[in-house]
Amino acid sequence: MHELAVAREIVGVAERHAGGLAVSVVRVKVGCLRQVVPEYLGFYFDVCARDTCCGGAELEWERTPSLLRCSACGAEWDPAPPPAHADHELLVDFRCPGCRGGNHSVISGDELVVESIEVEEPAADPGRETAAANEPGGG
Amino acid sequence: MHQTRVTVAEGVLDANQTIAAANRADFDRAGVKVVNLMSAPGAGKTSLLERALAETGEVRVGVLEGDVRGSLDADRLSQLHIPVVQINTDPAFGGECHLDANMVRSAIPQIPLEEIDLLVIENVGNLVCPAEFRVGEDRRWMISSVTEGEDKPLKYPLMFRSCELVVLNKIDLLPHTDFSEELFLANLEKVNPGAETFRTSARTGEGIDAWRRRLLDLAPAAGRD
Repeated sequence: MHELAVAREIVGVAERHAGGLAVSVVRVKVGCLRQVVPEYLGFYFDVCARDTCCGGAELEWERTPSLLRCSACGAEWDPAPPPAHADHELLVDFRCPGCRGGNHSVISGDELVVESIEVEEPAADPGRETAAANEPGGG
Repeated sequence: MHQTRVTVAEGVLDANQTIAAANRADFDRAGVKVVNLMSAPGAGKTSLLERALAETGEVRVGVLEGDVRGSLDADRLSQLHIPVVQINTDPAFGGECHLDANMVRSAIPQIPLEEIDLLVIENVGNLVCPAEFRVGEDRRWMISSVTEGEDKPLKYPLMFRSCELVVLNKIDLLPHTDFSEELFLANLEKVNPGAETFRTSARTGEGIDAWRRRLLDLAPAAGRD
């Protein structure tokens, strides 16, 4: 269910950047702290993309590892290490393993970003990449 | 036909964040503090609000009620003679499982912001999606109940981490369940170290006064003049 809502937002982002062209690939980065299951995301993406410029597009995802840094002692650790056994999700611990401090910054793992898309253009236009990349901030 | 890569680098939830910021600006302009209250279905959000908002002194409180369908909760809270606005997520996409910033935005014109100091947004019961979608709130609070079990902070870390305050409700049932309050608090401390906690029973009223005080204290001082 959660992935459905996220998938819809992904399609929306891709649409805004596609400039009306057909999208063939959408690349997303999903951090391990996001509680998003990329496999389900792909399924819902297919559903949400129907009848949009992303219809039939492929969702490519990259998982980024979770990594925190303790604000007190600077130690770095992964609060949710990869599954070791069936109860892996119960291993999470966001307290510093060194000093048990509760304050930390997230170095990696909370990403939920559309990195890039592939659009299908009728003719070669080398200026497209730069122009498109500048679109959202421009004007 | 040829393929061109377009750099996007946009957060999936950025659009929602932008609308949430606009909501927040509207609330700030009106001097209204906003709490986004979240929990699993049946944890006792409405019951707790019924108890807490029955007695609000000088603080004028309104409720924005989010439900997939119907106005059962809003009808209950309307008995308190406070402004209650209902959002149903049903017409949108066959029943959205959470409120997003845009839904709240569309409800703002119906909320008498000039007549309230504090707005409680009762989110749709769900421990997953509401964690992702900011709606323009000042505070994110949640309720967890004894009957849900003490493992929930570990199973839904995103939700428990996204809230600064957690109410443990239905403590009247403690003698009748195997729920370990100590373990629950230890689990919460693992995922959200230092989170503020309250313990309540909406049924017996235990702990309600303390939580109500905490809630009403959020309102700008002007509201209590």
